Amino acid sequence: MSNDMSHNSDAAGQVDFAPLFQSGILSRDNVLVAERVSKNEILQRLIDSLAGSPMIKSKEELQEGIFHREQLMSTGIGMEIGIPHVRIGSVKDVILAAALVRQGVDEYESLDSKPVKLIFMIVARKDQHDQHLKLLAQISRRLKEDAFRRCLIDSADGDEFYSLLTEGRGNGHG
Amino acid sequence: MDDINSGILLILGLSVIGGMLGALAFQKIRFPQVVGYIVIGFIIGESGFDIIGNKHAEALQMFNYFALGVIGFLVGGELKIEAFKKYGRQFTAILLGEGVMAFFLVGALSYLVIYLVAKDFRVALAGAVVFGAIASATDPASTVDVLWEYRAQGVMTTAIIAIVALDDALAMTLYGIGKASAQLLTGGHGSIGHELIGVSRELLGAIGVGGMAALLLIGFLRWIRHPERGVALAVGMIMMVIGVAVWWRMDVILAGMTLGFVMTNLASYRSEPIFKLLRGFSIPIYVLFFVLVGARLGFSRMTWWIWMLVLVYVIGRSVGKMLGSYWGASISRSPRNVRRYLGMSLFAQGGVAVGLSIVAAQNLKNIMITPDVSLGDAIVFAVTGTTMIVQLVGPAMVKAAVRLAGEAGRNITEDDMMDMLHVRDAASMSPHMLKESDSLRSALMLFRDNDMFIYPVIDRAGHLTGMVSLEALKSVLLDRDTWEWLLVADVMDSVPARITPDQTLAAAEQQMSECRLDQLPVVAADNTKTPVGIIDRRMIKVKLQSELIRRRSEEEPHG
Repeated sequence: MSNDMSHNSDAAGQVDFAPLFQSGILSRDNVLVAERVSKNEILQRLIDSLAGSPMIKSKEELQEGIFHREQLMSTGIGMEIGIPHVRIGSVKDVILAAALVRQGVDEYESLDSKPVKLIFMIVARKDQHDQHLKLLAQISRRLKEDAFRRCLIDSADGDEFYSLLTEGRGNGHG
Repeated sequence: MDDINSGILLILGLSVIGGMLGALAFQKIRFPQVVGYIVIGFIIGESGFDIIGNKHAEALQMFNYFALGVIGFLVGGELKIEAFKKYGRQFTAILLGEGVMAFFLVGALSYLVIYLVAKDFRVALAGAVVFGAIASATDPASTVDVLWEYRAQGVMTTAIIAIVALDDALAMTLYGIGKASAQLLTGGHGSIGHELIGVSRELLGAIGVGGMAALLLIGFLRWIRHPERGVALAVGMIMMVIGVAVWWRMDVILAGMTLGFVMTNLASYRSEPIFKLLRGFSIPIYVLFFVLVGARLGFSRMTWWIWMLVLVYVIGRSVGKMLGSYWGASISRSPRNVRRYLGMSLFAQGGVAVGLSIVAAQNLKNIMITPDVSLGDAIVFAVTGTTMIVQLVGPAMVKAAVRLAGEAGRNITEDDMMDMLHVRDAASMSPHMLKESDSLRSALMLFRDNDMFIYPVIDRAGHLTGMVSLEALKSVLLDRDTWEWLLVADVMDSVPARITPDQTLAAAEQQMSECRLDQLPVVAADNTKTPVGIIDRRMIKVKLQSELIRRRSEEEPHG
């Protein structure tokens, strides 16, 4: 599937992509938009957001897991994308949070040293090994599509960002 | 009728429990358990408290046949055709050596005793021939029971099983010839040709019935998946074979043996679980059988010269078996252990000898040694006396022989070995370790360059934090770009259990089953955070197989 063929845009500038996530795995409450924040701050905000979900039973374990993983190596995978992720015992099922940082996080230490603008935090149960890895690979594969990635970065607000991720629909500002 | 039936059930229960207690007591003083069964039988039987009397013995005759059939079946299951192909010449030489030597020595010595009493060389010769023939038999049941109890395995053990299985046939042939000679010598109406036809019918008929039943059973087993049902079918077939053999007066134990022999050699895969299950189920049958053997031993009517016969019979038979098997083993160039110790394993005497003595009592009751004791009576009394002595001494000698030959405790199963071997014997010790911060690429390279399927993962402090298996990586193998930014920490599994090098393989296997894992990290005994190795089911299997091969190769004869 080539980048050009992966979406359509109509006369009103509406874009239509294949959705990245199944609805249910990402709720609107766990989607944030920020202008300029530090790495620790945005990670903490995503953690706080997820901790409000009934799926998470221990915020402490989540927090410790996410920051421990970042200590081992940054989860900035390049192309302005960061995927902090963890498998813990105190989550009922796979759950996601997403953030758009318009100015980018400079100190994310991503592989290509560019600021990170799109952040997807994945939390899976310890035994959900396969789902966890498949989700990671799926995000990295889909966000290689320049058009989709640009649309996400250029989302007007949280609603559009959420709509692009779960339905593939946006206004196509870029 | 109710009285007799309920009485018999009570006696069966008493015999089994008493026999088991007797076996325990005798095991404490390091005697084979079969001796315990017989002594308990002796105590509660005819010569002791007479709880099991003649009427019970008669009522239990069918049970005895059943026990002989099951014992025969299990003994036959031990006889592999490969062993006969490999050692056939040695077995034949030893069989003829021990059988013929016992025949001649017992014959010669009993001739002297009977002649001393009867003063008639024809009667003495007739008695000598029959005693000699009976002396050549060996009891497979108690002998093989001792071999199983002490888990014997090796070339001598194989030779013992083959010889005790075959020398009953030799004894019956010699007896047929001996009985006809005795009747001819003493002016009766015997004919050697007629006797030989009778014996052939008994032996060949038993082989034919057992063989045909085995083919039928193998055919039925094709349709049966559960070994438990296979056992039911096998027991049913054993009963039918015994029924036919008793009906046509064939040798019951030989028919059972043929059934087991054909089964194990033509359908070893299907019959192996059946033999295993039946062996467990056969314990009460064995106990009861030997308790009843002990109970039937009667001494009330024995005179001094019959005790003399007992004495010369036991000495002549023991010396004959030892010298004869040494001679047979030497000329067939059998291994040293077989030459030295096989003869002392052939002392036990049971079913066939007692059976032949009872037949002799019927056939030879008109040949009188003294005015009130016939040759038939003398044979029954003497064989009873000798049976008691050799059944008490024989099993202990079998135990001593397998110990001396170094074959005791060798017939161990994989389960036994799992208890004997330790984790350090099978585990991969000091394997490569992965750090949790290593990239997925370096983990994949490690799997590519080594033949392990799993590696322990350590943190910065060197403590075990997880394990990475090739299985866990399969979902990202195709996404090469993830290899750069995924870490070992992202793909590792946690460690729900760990094991130390000094624990047994059985413990490791149990932990894996409980945690539903195929592998476990091995940690230092004094610090369970420090990984020192890794163990998986494949390593355990490889170790068990190589250990079995090693033990088998040690059993091969060295000349």
